[in-house]
Amino acid sequence: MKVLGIETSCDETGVAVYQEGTGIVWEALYSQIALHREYGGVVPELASRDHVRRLAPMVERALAEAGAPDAVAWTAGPGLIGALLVGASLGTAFAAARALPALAVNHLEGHLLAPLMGEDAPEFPFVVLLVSGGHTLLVEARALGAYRLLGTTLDDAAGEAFDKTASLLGLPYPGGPELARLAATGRAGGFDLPRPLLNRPGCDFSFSGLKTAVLYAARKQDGGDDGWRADLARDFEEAVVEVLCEKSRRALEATGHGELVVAGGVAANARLREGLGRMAERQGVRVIFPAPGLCTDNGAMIAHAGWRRLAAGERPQPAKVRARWPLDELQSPGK
Amino acid sequence: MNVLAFETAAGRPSVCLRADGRDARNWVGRERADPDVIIRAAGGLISEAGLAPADLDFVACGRGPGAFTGVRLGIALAQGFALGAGCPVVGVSDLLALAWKARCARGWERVLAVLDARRGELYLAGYDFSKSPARECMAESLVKPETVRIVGENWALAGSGAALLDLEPGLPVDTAVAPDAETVAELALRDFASGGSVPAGKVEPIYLRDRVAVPSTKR
Repeated sequence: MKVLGIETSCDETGVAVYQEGTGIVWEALYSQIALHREYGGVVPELASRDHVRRLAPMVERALAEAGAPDAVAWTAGPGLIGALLVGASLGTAFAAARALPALAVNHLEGHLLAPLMGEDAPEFPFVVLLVSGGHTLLVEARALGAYRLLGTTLDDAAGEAFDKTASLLGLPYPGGPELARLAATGRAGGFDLPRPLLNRPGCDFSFSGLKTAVLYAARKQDGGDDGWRADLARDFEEAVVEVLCEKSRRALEATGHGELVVAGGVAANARLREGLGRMAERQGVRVIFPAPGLCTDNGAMIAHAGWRRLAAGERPQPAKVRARWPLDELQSPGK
Repeated sequence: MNVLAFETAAGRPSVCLRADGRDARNWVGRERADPDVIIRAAGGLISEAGLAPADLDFVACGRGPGAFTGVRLGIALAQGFALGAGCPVVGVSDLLALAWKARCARGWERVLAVLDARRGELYLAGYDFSKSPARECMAESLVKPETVRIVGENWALAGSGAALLDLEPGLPVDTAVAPDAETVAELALRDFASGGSVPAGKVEPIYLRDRVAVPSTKR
């Protein structure tokens, strides 16, 4: 079975073809970062306009280069409604014209299952830390479609906190990677930043207070030597990483599972990878990161998730796009 | 010639199938219809006509201006269907479809097509149908109602936006008329015959309102 995957939930247009037994046989990704940079963040209307401009030519190329698919999987949510509608409309129309099954895929499940495409794939059950610009979740993945939310952010997502803090420090959009680059040149320990919710039990997160602490710390600086920016970026990164590592440890301890899968754009952060690696070693568990190209939004993870569900007997159903679609509302195929 | 047309940019969503030598088959949905509802309707029209998607010569759509999400919905549906059926796409101006529908219904020669663009503005274009081929004598534009002046004879106004204009008494007006898929299909058949189709990936949406966000440096 060959599945065409379409991802348009936010600011990346992704198309890929997943072939059973082989893996990803074709993939293309168009990032809108340059389009949104001058606005300091994603502008939903511009994102939707760009998706409708890019998507059809990408699908044309996929068909020409990877051949005819047997099914179509498209992201139905969570995400920006206008952006999701582009992929949903094109995907369902294409499938209808060829009488193919069309499957609405949950974007978060796409991320969560992406590491299963790798060579050292985890086996259910495992714990997932999903950290991106839109989400920060700890999830127990018991089986395909059977997910239990262990913790989530009460305010900003970790990636969002990176972007907003970078903006406070005068770094260009998207600030997360820029902040990490700046932090690499800074010294740790100069600023006393909070570790939100670390003193409370459970696996929930909160990052808005940390961002505010950075704002106040920055205001106290009198300009002059700019080295404080790098030091502050470093301390901010240390604080976020420490919280993510400790909450992940608690999730592993609470479930008793021996594998932690890390997904989402922030999974590309080098210091987070180091921190989680050290924690996993201490705990005697395995930590699995998807390939860098699978950390950010992409069509491959949607094609793959669609294939898994279809192969497990899921029947296509009329689907709507959903701005919110929590993982724990999903069900295993056939239920 | 078999054509499937979508119109979702202005008014209620509609789908039309025009097949060789047969009457148009139409479906009109409720406002804010989901893509899969519209697609099921399209599939129903095709099978009722005893056709398959592969029998389509091309797919047509209203390409705007209109509601932004509606413009994209129609284009993405047409693109997906055309890619699936392996045929090209013809995008039709929604203002032209509006004017032509009013012209056919009332026999008007010169039609100013006006759609409510919200935020106190209008999408507007003027067409002269007195001679063949029809002439666009006022290009599609986004305007403030108070800047519209009607100059010349025999003009009539069509579309939701006409209600926002302060018009001279006696000017023929139809504010209820709206573009639909049947009119889009009819206009697209002419465009297709004169080579106006494009591969699915080349259909251009027309929004007219392009300033939709303020750069952070100008806030």
